[in-house]
Amino acid sequence: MYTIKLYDGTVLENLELNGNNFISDTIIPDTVFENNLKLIEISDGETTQTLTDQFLAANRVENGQSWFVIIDKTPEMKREEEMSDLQLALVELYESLLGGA
Amino acid sequence: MSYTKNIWENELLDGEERFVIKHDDDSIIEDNVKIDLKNTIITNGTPVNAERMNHIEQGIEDLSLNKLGKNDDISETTVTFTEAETLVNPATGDNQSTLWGKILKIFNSTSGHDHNGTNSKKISYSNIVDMPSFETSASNIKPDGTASAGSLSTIARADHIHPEIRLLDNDGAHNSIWRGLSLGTSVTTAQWTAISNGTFEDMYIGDYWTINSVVWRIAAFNYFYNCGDTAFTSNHVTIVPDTSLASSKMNDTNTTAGGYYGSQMRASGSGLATATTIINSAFSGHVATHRQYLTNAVTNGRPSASSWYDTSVELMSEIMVYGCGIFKPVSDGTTIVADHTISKSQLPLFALNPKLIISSRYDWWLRDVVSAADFAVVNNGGFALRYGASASLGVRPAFSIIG
Repeated sequence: MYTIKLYDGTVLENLELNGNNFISDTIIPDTVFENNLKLIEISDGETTQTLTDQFLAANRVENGQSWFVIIDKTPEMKREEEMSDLQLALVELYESLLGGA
Repeated sequence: MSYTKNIWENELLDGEERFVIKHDDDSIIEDNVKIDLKNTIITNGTPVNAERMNHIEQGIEDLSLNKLGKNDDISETTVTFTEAETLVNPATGDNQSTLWGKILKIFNSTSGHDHNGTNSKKISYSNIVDMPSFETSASNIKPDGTASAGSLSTIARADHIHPEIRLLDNDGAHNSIWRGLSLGTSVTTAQWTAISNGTFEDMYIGDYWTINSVVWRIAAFNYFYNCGDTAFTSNHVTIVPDTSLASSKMNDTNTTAGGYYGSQMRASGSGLATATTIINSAFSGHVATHRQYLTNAVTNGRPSASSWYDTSVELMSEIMVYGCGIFKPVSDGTTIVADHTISKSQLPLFALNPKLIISSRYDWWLRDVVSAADFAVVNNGGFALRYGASASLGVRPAFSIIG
């Protein structure tokens, strides 16, 4: 069984791994993972793996179980986020400049 | 060189024979005298005269003209002979008559060396004796085809060849041979047994059953053997129908979200469900359920997740049909495509007879995610293609049967 500790400290326990799908007997909504995969720890009970910059590739309910997949962000996703961050910084810069004027 | 004969003539005297007796100085002692032999003649000798001498000369000449030298032409020489009584080899010192008599005996159609009367190379099988015996135990046959007993007089029968060189009844051997023979309208008890024990006797790639008007063709033997998070260890035959069993969309809209596993194609009431019903009817109780790795999520147009599932009837992949991916995304060293699959080699059916890919001219779905909107397709014109997921195309799945 696997345990995943999310960035905010939330712990998902008693997870089965099928392929790259983790299976939880309790339903886990997408909101649990939102902005919570920047740094996670995955443990199989013996070893713990620390992963960064993950994203939720899939999360669906089958037979009362949550099947979710957490994988590395793709280079495209990272570029898009970097662009968004840059755009946000520019907006803040403009706002500060305008406010100063 | 021929002999030149002399001509002999008799001596002629002018009267009765007389002699003159002289001294050494030719002075005459007695003249005109006769000389008689004092002895008594016991046997009269043969007189030497011209006639006899000429006869001898003629004989010598004839011999000279007619004798055979070692380089002389004997093409016109005749010989009289009779067939030898027994079959005996010609020997040094035999005369011509004996030699030819022995030779004639050799060609005697019943008591000579065997031949069919006109051709000595056509020996009657019934006249062959001391033939090699046949080794009847396969275990006694060596790889070179001779008997393990080591005797050159013992040879292998065609149906008893050493296991190392004969075609054995197993999955690998039968995966290598295209036959395309009809196996009937149902799977016989013997065929189920042959499948169950993995010998696959009298079943080869391309062989087919015609059941409920569908041609069910053998595509592979033990294709999925030992695969799965739980190993599939039952001997099995993978079947592909020649035609589509249904027509269906992959999804209602042009999306591949959820991958193949999460597609509408696999949902209840879809084309795959229809195909599964047809298949279960044709091979009731024998359609194998085994574990397969199928994609269930797509990110940026690439499969991003996949899992092990219990499967029985599934769409084929590009690799199973073409032998390689054509439109399916592949890992590029940065982004890892989660398209784990146990269907990682071409089905022998399509490798040995590619025309079966286009067994009839219609489009049919493959299960590979190509993009965020497209799945792979086999086009009716014979080329690899992709279509938006909402297209309604043929459903030609593969499945495996067990004994």
